[in-house]
Amino acid sequence: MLALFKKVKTMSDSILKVENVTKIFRYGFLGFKFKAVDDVSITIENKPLIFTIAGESGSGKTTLAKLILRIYRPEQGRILFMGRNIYEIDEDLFHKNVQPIMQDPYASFNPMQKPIRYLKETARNIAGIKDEKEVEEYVAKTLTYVGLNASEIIDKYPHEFSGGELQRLAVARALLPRPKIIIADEPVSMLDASLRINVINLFKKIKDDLGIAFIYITHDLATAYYMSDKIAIMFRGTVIESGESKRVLSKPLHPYTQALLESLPEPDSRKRKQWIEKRIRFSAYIEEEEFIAKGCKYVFRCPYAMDKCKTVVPPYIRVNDTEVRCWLYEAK
Amino acid sequence: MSVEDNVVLKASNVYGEYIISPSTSIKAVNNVSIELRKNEIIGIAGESGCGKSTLIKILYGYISYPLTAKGKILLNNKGNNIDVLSVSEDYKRENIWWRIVSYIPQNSMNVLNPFMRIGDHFSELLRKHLKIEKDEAYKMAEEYIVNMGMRKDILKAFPHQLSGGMRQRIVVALALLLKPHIVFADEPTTAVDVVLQKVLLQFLIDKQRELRNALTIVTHDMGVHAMVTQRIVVMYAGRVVEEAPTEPLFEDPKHPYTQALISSLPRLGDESPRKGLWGTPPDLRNPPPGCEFHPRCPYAMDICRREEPVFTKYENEWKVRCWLYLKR
Repeated sequence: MLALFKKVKTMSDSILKVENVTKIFRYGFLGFKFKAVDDVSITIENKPLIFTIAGESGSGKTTLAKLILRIYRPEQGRILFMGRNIYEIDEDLFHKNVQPIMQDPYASFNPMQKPIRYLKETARNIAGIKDEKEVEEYVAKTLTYVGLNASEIIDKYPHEFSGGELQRLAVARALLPRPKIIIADEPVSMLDASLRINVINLFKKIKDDLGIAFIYITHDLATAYYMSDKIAIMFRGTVIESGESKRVLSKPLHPYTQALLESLPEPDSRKRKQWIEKRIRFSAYIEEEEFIAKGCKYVFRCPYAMDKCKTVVPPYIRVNDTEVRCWLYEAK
Repeated sequence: MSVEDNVVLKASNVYGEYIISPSTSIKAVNNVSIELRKNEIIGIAGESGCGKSTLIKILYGYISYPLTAKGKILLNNKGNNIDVLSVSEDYKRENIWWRIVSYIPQNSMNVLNPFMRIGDHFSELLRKHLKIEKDEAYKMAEEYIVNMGMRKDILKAFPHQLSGGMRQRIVVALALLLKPHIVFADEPTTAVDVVLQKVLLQFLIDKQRELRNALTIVTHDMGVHAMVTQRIVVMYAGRVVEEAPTEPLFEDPKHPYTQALISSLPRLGDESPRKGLWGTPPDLRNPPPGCEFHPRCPYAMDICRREEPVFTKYENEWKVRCWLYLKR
């Protein structure tokens, strides 16, 4: 199995490829349908990088993470890991290589169980280390790496840790099987700002030292700018703009990305005047309407909306290495 | 007009404790003195558990078991001083809350009564406080909501029919209905998206400018403070550690905690490596001796571990509670 896997590895130049994936959710008595993820394609190159998926609540970013982690099965499209469909890979092997870090550190550990036990189980069952002494050493080494002291945490239950420590434990747990890629869904949004940056710096260190790629899912564009290499901005289930993080976040093309960046309050009082004077138009739009819109989903709020936008979904248009889904950039 | 007339609320040496058993209590607010001024947006900053929400609950006068409070909170109502902590709850309900002081709670999109139409929320409040008939109250509510920049048919809707952002605006509108002198907003925009956050903050700023009242915004988001507030109070472990006008504070914070809080935040267009704080805030059942921040402070000295610093004036409007700036 491993031999086969190694062979596959050399064949693929992308670590993860999401191809035209759609996930449909139904709710209500008659099954009102909507697409939480609508025809999304992204490619994550096979090299250590941090790929941010950014969007607001309801943009489908968590659903996309769950699709990648095999928690949901897509209705259409496929997801390739190292060039193979994730549903064709042995489940254990897949989870050894693709590891999650979840949003709420307090909810990711069993409150009745010492986290150290969980870490050791991961080392035994997923990383596949048999010798008990080796397991202990390996866990201790990994804990030191994330900035925790194994001897201090050995007798503690989850409620005895702070949020920052628990999140570092979660990072250590994800590192144990030495995955190729870690999917981190809002990993720092529950932490206080002064601790947040430590976890983010840890991600950068892991990427550089261990060569592990990250998918960082967030609504926080400032941390995305700080840590990530590539970014995809999602809106109502679709990726509307993607490319190099620094470029997308400094020269946004899509009107939605522009609105996001304009409304972001920054901890810099010199930008205050500009921020207050630039007003955002508020219309009482309806979320469901946006989800089921036939054309561009941003049309209800877009200041540049044209007739075409209402009926035809814009294709991916390439502008200086950035892909944007907006009719404004259609080649004349 | 003296300076005193500008002060609408003056709290001195306020303590707030949560009693968890006869022998233990959490000192959530510890010897805080603060002034709220007319026509000013003041921000209370700090991370979870620093006592910022408890402080404004006490200032608002909403104190119920297990929270206990002591100290002096003087509310300036057109020259008459009312001590918020000594008057009865009935008195506050009749004369203070909504009229002089109002409060926008955390999670404000979920505080409306789901069985009541939006209009009834408004008309009930008007009838209770202005002692007027239902029809009249409804008419007033209609006028008011149009004035607030919303459509009047919103009054016929039930809360669940509106989006979260709309509901939050309704709650803000309700809090401002009787033109209070002081408005407390507890994390008004925490659960919303950035675009909506800006819309709501703009709404709050516009209304503050119109009513010229004292708006107090409590949030952990330093970005919101930098964009909106005029003066900031930074709290740590139940104490106010620094108070200063917003703009100079962001340029040159004095207290090591404020410095860490501001410098740890990544900004767009800036890739310089940033460092955070290690460790956790102290257990408030049993705070450390000396300065509460010393276990995490990069500049901690011997004296910080032994003696409590005093909250003293650094410059005109600038106060800081740190041994680095105290003459010994």
